Amino acid sequence: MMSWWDKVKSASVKTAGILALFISLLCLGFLLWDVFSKGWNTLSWDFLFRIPSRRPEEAGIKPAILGTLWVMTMTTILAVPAGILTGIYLEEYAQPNWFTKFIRINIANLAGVPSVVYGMLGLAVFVRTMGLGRSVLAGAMTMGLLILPTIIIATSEALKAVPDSIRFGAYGVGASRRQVIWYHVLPEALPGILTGIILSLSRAIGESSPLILIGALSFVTFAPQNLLDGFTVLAIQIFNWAGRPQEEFHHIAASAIIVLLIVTLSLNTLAIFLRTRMSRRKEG
Amino acid sequence: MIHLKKSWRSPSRSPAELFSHLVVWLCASISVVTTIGIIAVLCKEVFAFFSHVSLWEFFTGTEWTPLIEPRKFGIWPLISGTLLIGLGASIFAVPIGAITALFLSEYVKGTPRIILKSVLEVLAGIPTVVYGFFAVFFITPQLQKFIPDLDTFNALSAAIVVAMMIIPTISSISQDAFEAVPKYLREAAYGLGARKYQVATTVVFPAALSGFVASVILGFSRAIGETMAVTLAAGATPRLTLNPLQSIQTMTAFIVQVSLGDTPAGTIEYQSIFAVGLVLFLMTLGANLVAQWIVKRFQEKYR
Amino acid sequence: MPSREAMIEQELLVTPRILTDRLTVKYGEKVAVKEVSLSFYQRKVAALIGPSGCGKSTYLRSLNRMNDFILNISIEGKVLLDGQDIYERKVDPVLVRRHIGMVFQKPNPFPKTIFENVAWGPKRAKFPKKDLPQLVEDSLKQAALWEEVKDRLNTSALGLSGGQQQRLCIARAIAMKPSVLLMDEPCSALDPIATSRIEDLIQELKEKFTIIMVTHNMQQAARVSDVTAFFLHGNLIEYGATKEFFTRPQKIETENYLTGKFG
Repeated sequence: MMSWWDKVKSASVKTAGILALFISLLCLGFLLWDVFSKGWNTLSWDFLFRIPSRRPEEAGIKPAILGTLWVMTMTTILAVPAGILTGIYLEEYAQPNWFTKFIRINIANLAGVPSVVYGMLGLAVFVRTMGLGRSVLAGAMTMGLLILPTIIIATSEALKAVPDSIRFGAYGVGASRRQVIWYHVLPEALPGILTGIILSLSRAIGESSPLILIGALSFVTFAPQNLLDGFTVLAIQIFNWAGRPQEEFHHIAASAIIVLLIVTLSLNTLAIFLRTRMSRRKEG
Repeated sequence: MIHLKKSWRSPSRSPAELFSHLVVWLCASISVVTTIGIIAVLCKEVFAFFSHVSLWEFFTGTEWTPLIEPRKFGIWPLISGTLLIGLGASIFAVPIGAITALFLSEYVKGTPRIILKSVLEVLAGIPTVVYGFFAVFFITPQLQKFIPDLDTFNALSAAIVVAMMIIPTISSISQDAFEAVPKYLREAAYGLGARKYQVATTVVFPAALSGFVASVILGFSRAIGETMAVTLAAGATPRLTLNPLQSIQTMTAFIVQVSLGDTPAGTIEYQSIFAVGLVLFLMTLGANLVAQWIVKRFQEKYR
Repeated sequence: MPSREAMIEQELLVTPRILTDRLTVKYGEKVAVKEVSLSFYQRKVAALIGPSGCGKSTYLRSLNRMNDFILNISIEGKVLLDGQDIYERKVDPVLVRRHIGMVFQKPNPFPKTIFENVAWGPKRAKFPKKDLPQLVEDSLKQAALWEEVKDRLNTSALGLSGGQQQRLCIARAIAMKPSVLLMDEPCSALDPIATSRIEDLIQELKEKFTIIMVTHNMQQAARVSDVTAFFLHGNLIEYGATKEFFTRPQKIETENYLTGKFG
């Protein structure tokens, strides 16, 4: 039988594990509860379709939602194809030489560069040097560069997971490299790539510091009409309201947070769902 | 026959193939250009910055007041603020992340493991500005019930929410490392009559130690680069202190503070954010390189 | 009159050390081992042979409850170690494994020093610390590894050759002073020279332990074992003294397998 000392140690390791997990879940619970209890009452359909105002009871997040949509659409258009193609280059085209190795290390490091540094790059290059100003386009290009490494890494991992037998099978019937990739490898890797894209977009939607750096305005009463218009996004609107002294603004900040959380958490859930289904398929 | 001959024209050197090769190569070069861009942009403004401020003052000064007269440009208050957040967050996040990872990899199996890991990832999916809100309007008021002299904006609350943010980073990477410990090592230990907690603590954890260390470094690097939560919660008072109850300012928060005002290019305030940015960039770059090096060594050990 | 020790010794030679009584192992619905009854005695080496997938490894792993870690597994029948059913509810599987050592197919030393590898199991079982060096030395001597490693006990076990690593794993197992030693194809990852050293070692070890080994190598079974059991599709086909078994097999399936007619 187990000695009592063994039992104590065994139980304490298990308890520590449950406790650690419980603390994280508790924090998450508190956060959601806090935000919902503060922001639920001021959340309404009206709130979504009103423009910001100096009076909190009349303020809404229409420009912020439209600004987020504009920036995210442009970010997706700019970053997703470039990210996927870079992943394809690394896994399917690149020779194993020092240059490829350098690109890989470089991408891994870019993924770890703080977002605010991307903002500085955007500010100096897109806003000032290229003269795009504080526009949707400058914001989207900055965000695009920010999420590019994540998309590349996800694509690269997904392509690596495609077994070589599929490639050899296709080459064996005389397909060219482009045909092998397009018709056989990419469809196989698509769920993995999609998961990476969704996760990185979800991150970008909640990210605000690079956009503050390039000077996205925090008090905008209009929605952008074209790519060179100024804009604001949800996360910046929240930051702005949370920083004001009046408590009423904190409540509408919480309401905006609920909207933001619904979007990012649904995207995360979708990504997790995709990934789980993928691993099930591999096991089965 | 003619048909066949036509297709013998090497398909891998057709214009379409060469064009695709060129396109993917150009895309890959974007990442290199980005890195060059970051370094060039930072360095350009930093050279201008150091024509006004001496290197000596920047690296030895203990006061940082670039926006008010008399202007002083000693980086140490910002570094100490940043490290206070980074280390403070690690103190909370490392034990919790490590134990969670070990528990999930050794004690939980099948569907519950996948579900719990996914729920933890929700913590990573919450935008940082939300964490800032949570720190200012929930954690600080709660803490003030126990610590009456806690400042409204303080390093402690910010460190706690940053810890929440990096727990998934640490636990997820560590869990992968623990699960990658080969099955045969676990079998060897169980075959010798070891108990589960003994296998977890004396075989799995030591064997995956480097993966765990890498996860801690990456978590730390995320913590010091974190921006919005610390801008909202930690304050805007550059102060050379290790007291977490006070208001401080991190490097990232300073950069945001300057950007919120309208600072024209060419001014010393504008240049100073690039100087701070370069220091931040080098710190996170160093941390990431070390973590990658450790992970790589770890992978080679079992091959 | 023989001494008391000699009588116990005599007793052990005629009473099985470990036996299975209609042992059936299922993975979900799939039957991997079907109603196998076998007895193993002191000072005897038993070899389990058969084509891959015949259930011999599954059977071996049921003897020290290593199969407990597999989901959806179900085990019926009895496994008696010195008369005690190891699958009885009150029995702690961890203690079972301390009495029944195991050596695996691929050498699997821990990424620790040679000394730490051998001392690891006894330490977990609260063996007095001061006696550890002596125990490590004895175990390494019994595993015929002492001379090769005595000057580098504190270097990593991963620096040893494959054959040395496997002998280290044997030393690690016998440091627990088990009564039964299970070996799951212990030489399949080794070269012929290392294999023959392990085979010699098994001959020495059988003086102290009941050894049960799985092998896919018929020559090895013939060289090393005293008794041989032949498995096919989860069934025990034939069991007998090794000499008899290889020269005069009783069953047609056995003969087909031995002569390579098996298809």
